[in-house]
Amino acid sequence: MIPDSKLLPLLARADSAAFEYLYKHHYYMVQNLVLKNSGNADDASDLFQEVLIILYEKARDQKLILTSSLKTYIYSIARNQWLKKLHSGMKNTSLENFEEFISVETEPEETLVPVLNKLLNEIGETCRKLLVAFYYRKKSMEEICVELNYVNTDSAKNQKYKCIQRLKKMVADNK
Amino acid sequence: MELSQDDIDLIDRFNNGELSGEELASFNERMKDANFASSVALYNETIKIIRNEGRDELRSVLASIQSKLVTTGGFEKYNPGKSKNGGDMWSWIIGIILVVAVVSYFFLTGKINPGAIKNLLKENEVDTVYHYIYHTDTIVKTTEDSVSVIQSDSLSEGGSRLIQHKQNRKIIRIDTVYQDPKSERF
Repeated sequence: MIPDSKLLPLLARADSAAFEYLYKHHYYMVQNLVLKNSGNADDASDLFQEVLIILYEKARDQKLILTSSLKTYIYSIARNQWLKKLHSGMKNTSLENFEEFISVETEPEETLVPVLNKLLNEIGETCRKLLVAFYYRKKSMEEICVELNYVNTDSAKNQKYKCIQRLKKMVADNK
Repeated sequence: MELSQDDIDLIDRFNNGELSGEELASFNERMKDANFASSVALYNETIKIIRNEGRDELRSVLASIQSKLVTTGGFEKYNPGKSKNGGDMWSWIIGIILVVAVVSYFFLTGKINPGAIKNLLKENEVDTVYHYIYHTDTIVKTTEDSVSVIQSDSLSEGGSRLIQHKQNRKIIRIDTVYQDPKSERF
């Protein structure tokens, strides 16, 4: 067993071993919640992915302060997200619970015009990696330098500026 | 309006809540300019696309982890009945049923008899014997401490006593005994 305190830093780095550990130990708990509450195996799979993404983003932003076990936290996020899904689908919204849960705030999902989602694939792999590393994974310029083999941080910063300007233009043209 | 690299750094710091009071006031002042505000809005829309792409990338990683675990059967079964101290209620129930079944089997097939168990438990009673007194017309059954007359026509003053083991009826010894004339005890 990996203690929760050791798991969080791994999670903040999007470490595959941390995700694998969470899948091994908590996937069936979430699947059980979904199957017993009007969902199917595919819903459970999607929901667990969403739970891990929320967990990762909170850990990355250092907003994950555990007041209970990680298991309870995972169950609570899953319950919260599944309730939202049931509400949006106008399904029966009373949930059968199997574990204790706490109230967990999750940010509303960002909705985008579908055509814009594909723009990043058109600006090239180098730009895509650089922008995702900076804006999603929130890596510092020093870390990006090492990871993507830039000569120095200025060089990485210039490249990032060019990439974002190009993408911004593509977004403006597609609106 | 084209945003400069400094503008982008400023917007990033605003988005992360890193601007000081003075910087924040200056930023809010610039946001009154419709061109700047529109450029900021376009920039933030672009960041949303990048974040979305980041999530999709992560989904792919997670899907491959899940797929690998499905193949290798690496998931730990969910057991809501498991108690918090790690004990498993069902294991206890099954264990008790098994013990009862095994003991019942041996009783029913005669491989264990209650007398044998009693004898094992009371090993000190191995000396408890029946005493048979043989004499012409007298058969007397005794225990170690008392004599009970089973059949007595003419109780004589003496006789032989066979001492048997209580359970297996083996003769341990034969004594010659004499009756106490004052009582029926030997």
